[in-house]
Amino acid sequence: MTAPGFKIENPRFEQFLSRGTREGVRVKTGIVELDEMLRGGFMEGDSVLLAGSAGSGKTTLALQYLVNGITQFGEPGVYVTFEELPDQIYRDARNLGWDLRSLEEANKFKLVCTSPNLLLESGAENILDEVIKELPAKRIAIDSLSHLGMYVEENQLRQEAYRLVRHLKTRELSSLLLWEVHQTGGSSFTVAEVGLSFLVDCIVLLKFVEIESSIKKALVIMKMRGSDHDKRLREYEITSHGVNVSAPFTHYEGIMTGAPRRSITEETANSWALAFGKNKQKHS
Amino acid sequence: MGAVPLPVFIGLITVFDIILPGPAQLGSGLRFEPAYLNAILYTVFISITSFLVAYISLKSYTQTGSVVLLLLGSAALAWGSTTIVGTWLANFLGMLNAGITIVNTGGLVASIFHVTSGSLTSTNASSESRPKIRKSLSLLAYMGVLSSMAFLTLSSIEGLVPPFFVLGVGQTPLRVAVVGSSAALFAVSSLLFGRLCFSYRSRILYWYFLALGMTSVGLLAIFFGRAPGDPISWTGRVAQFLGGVYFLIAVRSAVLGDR
Repeated sequence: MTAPGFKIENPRFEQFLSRGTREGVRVKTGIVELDEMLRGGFMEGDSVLLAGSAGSGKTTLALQYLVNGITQFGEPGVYVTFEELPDQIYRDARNLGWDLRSLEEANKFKLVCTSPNLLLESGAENILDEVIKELPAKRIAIDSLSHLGMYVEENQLRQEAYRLVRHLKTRELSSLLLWEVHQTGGSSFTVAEVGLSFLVDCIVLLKFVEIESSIKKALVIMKMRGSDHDKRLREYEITSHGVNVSAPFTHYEGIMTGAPRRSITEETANSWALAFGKNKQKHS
Repeated sequence: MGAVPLPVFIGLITVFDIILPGPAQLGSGLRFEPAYLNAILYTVFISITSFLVAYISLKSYTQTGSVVLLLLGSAALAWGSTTIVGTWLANFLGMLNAGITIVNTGGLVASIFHVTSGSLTSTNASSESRPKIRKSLSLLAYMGVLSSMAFLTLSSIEGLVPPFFVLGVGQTPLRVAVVGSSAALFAVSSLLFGRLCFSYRSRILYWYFLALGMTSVGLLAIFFGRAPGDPISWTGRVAQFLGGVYFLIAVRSAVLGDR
């Protein structure tokens, strides 16, 4: 063991790499539209960075990924939180229709509430391996990598994140790593600046956009190693049943800049429709 | 200001009808019928502007699902497609009767669509289609219009449609009935949209109502013309071309975000 962190030498990791993971087995999220965007789901064993600002629905999406994995695909999962207390997570999940306690009792789900410094000091092996083996887990969500940054220097964060990612890969886990980014107003942001983008296989970005004086949520897949994916931004909502991904923002331009506007054709069509269509509604 | 030419054209047609001699006495100096110019003018001022209206209406329909817009688009497509096919057939391939038949029948179809569309704006009936069927419905409507127009073209060329125009004799009663109906229906649809325009002070509707009015006046001139290319037929043509310009101004108003 190196302190702080995990062992660098790892024969299982080499073994894992030599087996090849890009054969096309997909890990479905269970959200039909998102799986369509991912051309069937995440690649098996991939590390996925789920980046978004506060309130964007990262935790909800991560829980949904795990719950759907258990209920729809028979893949047990572990949720590691550095942030919220277990009771709070159980309660929030119940409000979304997911009974995490029952899943835990059925030994299909584990909620691990720990501190980032504990994970850094004792290593992921000690903290996670037991629960991973016990289930045995196929999926894991870490909420969130941003909390690791509170305990290590910025230049060490990448190293620690790399060790964690590698460790999860050796356990053949399809992982979802949450990352909180700051987004003020409708401005844009990038995940590249934190230097984590090259460590992960896939990046899913959640962001707020202002469209016609309303705040909407947009989801985009920024990167997906070894697979084609939908490059369009899609609107999503957090409903009483979890995340619901809907249609692409096809009528707008400049969404990533934070200042979206309708294309001129759409604006023209809208004015045309208002003249001929909406006027009629005033009659009724 | 856009409404001023409307009475001017009606006045011009009336004046020409009074001062011009009958068809037999009309000298060749009073006739101007250049084939290229005719075809280009009809293509630019009627077909292209109609296609633009058809495109914008289609986009608007897919946004809102309002059947009014789908009917407007279908009308513009019928008007634009038959005009381009008919004028080029008549002016370059010498198929005068076929060309006139296609243009006039297309005009009638367009006027029926316009009247239906205008009537829907005046009713309380729900005329919005569900988002899932909008694309297929619009495809069905536009393909239906285009295939009907193609069928009309082939039938006219093959002589399966009763003649609209006989060389040396002039227009047949069938053409008079078709053009008369079209002119009346364009006038009615113009009034329907005009009523809506003044109720809601819409610039788009204002120019659209005038465009339909000018088209109606343009078609009306056919009744008084002595021969193709005489001052009355040019007055009617210019009225129709101005109608095309007005359609374009309506689209421009939409581009500028007016309503």
